[in-house]
Amino acid sequence: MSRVMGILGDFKLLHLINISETRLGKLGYSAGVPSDLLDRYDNVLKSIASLVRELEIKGPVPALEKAPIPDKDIFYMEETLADMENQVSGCLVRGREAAKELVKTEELISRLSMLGPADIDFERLSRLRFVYCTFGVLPADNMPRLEESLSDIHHSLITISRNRDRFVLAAFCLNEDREVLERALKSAFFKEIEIPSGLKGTVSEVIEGLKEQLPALERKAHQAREEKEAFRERFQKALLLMREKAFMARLLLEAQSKFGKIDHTYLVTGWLPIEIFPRLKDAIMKATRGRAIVESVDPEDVREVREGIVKIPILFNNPLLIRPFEKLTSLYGTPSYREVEPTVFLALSFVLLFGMMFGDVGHGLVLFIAGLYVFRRLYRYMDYGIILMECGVSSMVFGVLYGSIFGVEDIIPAIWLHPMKDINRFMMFSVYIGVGMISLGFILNIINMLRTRNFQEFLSAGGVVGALLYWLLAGLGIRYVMAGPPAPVEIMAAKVISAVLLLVMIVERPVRAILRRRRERGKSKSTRAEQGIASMVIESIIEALDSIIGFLANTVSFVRVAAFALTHAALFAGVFAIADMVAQGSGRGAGYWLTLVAGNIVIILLEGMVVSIQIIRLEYYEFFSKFFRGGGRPFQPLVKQEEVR
Amino acid sequence: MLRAALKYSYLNAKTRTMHARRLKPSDWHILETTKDPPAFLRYLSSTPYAPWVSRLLSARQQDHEQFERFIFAALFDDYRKIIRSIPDNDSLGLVRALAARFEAENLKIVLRALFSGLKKSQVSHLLYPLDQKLSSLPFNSLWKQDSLGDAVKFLAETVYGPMLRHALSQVDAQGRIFPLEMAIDIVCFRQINSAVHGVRSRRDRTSVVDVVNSYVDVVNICHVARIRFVYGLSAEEALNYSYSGGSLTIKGLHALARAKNLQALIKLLPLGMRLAAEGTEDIPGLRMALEDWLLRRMRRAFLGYPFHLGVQVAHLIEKEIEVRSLVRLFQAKATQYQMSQAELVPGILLKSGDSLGGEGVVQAG
Repeated sequence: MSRVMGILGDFKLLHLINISETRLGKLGYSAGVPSDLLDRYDNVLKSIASLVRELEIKGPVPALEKAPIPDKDIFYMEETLADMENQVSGCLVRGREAAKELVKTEELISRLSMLGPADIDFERLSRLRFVYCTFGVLPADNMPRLEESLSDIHHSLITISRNRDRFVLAAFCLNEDREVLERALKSAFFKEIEIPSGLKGTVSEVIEGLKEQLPALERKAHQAREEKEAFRERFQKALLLMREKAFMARLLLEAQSKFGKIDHTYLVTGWLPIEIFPRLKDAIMKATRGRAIVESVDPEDVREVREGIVKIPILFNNPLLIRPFEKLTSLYGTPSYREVEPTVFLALSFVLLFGMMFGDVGHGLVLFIAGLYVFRRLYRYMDYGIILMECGVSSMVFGVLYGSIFGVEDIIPAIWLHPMKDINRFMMFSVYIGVGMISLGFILNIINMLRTRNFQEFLSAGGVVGALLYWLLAGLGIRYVMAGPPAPVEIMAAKVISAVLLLVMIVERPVRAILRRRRERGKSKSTRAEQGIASMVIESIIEALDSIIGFLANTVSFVRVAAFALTHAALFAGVFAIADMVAQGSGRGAGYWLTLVAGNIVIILLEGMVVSIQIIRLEYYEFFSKFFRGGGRPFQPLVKQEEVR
Repeated sequence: MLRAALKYSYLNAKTRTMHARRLKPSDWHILETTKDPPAFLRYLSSTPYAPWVSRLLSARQQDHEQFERFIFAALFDDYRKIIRSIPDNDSLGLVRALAARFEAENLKIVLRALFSGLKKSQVSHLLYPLDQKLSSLPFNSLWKQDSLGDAVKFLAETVYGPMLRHALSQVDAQGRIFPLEMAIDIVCFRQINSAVHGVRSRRDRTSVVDVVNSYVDVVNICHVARIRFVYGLSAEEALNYSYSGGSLTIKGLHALARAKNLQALIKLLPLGMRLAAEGTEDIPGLRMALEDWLLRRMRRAFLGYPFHLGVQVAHLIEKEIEVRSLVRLFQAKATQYQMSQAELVPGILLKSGDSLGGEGVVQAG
């Protein structure tokens, strides 16, 4: 079993099904977790953590080449760790003691320094036979009360030094009044300065003596530190690797709770991409010398899947450049197994729209460099680095099309257009993009309907009928813009077709309801109040009208693509105007260029953010809402690399 | 005068309206005669305390700890109303300093919980419900501290910080949290004292000094008596643990602390207080007598020239005494503790009418 677990760990791409949720598990045939082994791994991890902390080990986490075999590797780990601890412990104890001694001496020096102004002779103090004396710090506000509270005994409070809120005091009284003095000092929140007995000489002499001891102590501490560094060099890689192994072994052991077990036979069930199944089967059969049964079952053959009780997990499997956008898709929802996985469409449209709205060669280059930096240096945010680089490239491409470098439009010629000069054309183009994206949304929705066999929505506003109506209206609009007003025949045809489509949209729900009721009549008595046909018709009319308005609004919404491109250009104009005003005052010196640089930074940060938000809005509301239902279950591999870390 | 009138006319009207909503002697009489806590609450819900009592009734937790928490919300509401309308920063500082006593109580509870290893859920019912207006201490972060030492370190930058640092060494030495609690109280009264002297307007300061000093004197006398005769600590400890402010001098407090017994202490009190406290035999009785004296003295704030901060401070202290009396009475009902009303509520609340000047006295019951 442990070898099989190692193989599962190596393959990584297995989404385990928890056996306890199945019939077998409910009958009690779960494997459970081997708690003894888990405890041993916990102890190993604790020891590793303690060594890592003590040796101050930091550094990149090494990647595991092979998954551990939990019940075998534990022996090696325990033995190696014990050996390391034996070697290191002496050095660590010496280091701790040296550091402690150093701190103690430094603290004593600092305490004695408070008594410095009085330069007391400790030897003479120790000779006092009838007088008790103590040193300490007192909150300044408590002094009057302390003085008064001691008025009944012979005493002396000598101020050695004072600052804003505290006194350093020497308090003296007769030995017989010691209790009274101590009670009063205690209640006045007097903090005693502890002085070790047996000190000889004045305060300054004692401090001098202690200071002389410091170099030797520092040397000792330094020596221990060097020894520690040597151990760190020696053990760093092995310890970090062992930690990874122990983490992964522990995860594999915990995963055993999801296995089934009957006597000496284990049952492991899970989801995995079909392509890797043959390899997994071979590996398992080889490891178990043929003493295993490995079967694949088509999801369609699983009753619970057909009934929707068990959901098939979704494994995003996009190429490297598209993968970072999976995060944006997941933010909206996880697609169900039969739905179209929309990340690729989202990624392409995102990059395209970003370039259109933020088209500038210079700014694109800045974004690309920033993305490259994030990609190379900040491993955790690598995905964002890729997105930044892609947006940067798109921005540069559109910058070339617009002929804009850092807002300067006369360095390179515009291959396509200048957004500020050709506003109408640009707006129309944005609307075309909108028509394209919404149409794609309709097509994906129809595909989803087919794949999920949801034929009843086919004739609705979101289905084929809605799509046809939208394309009819969009076609008319495009025809009007490109070739002038349509001919009367075309208008008549459009009217008839749209009336028919609208009628279908309105009546499809009531008709379906009537048919359903007819089918169900006699079968069972429904207790729930059914909606009347008339109200259903009214609802359908409203829905159809709402859909038409929605089509229009969704399409017009894409005008913002042009609007933000214009804003981008207008902001440049603003920055240049401010820079010119600065130049009028002091010439085209540093002030002028500083203004330009600051303006560009503001545009990149502020507008870059706003543009991204707007694109996400377009993607989610105008595009995803047309076809994406979500409700899927994300694929959770047995061991994620991040989990191991 | 015109400036003061402009400054205080709205606040005064508001305060006097709040003041007029105190419980009447007849209310106290009925509350005392109620059969049990539910009946007590039922009657209280027909008085100006109705909003807070109804919250308590809907919370369905009518034990005396919950009652205290809910009923003190009425006092904090008055604090909030006054803070909202207070005209200047120095006056605001004083009202906030007075409210900080409740923050200090909460702080003590949190530190006690940390000291004894209790969780927030185990003591949260004891905390006063203070919001940002009345307390600026970051209690949520404070709860995350692992030990008393960490908590003191965390509070280093607050007003309590320096004193707590000093007191912490005493906690370590004595193995009890008492020094920390005393330190918090001492800081709190020090803040009140400096806030009183920070009031810039002379007329405001005079009126406030009169009210706050009387209050601090009463608190100090009871505190010294408790330390000496209940906790059995020495005179020097009683003096050092006494609070700043008030009209009693350090020497006077020391004399009180040195008194052999309660009767001797009462004989050493200033004349007015002595006359009020004569005949009392225990510390609760002494406190009741002194509160009675304090309430009579504070009535002066509502007489004569009306535009000064003394009105607000006197109202808040009087309201606090009223709320505390209600809590005592409820606790007596809840624990079926047989005690006369006069032993639980200052006499003046039972006797005087609702007139601000004390005229038109209505005899209780």
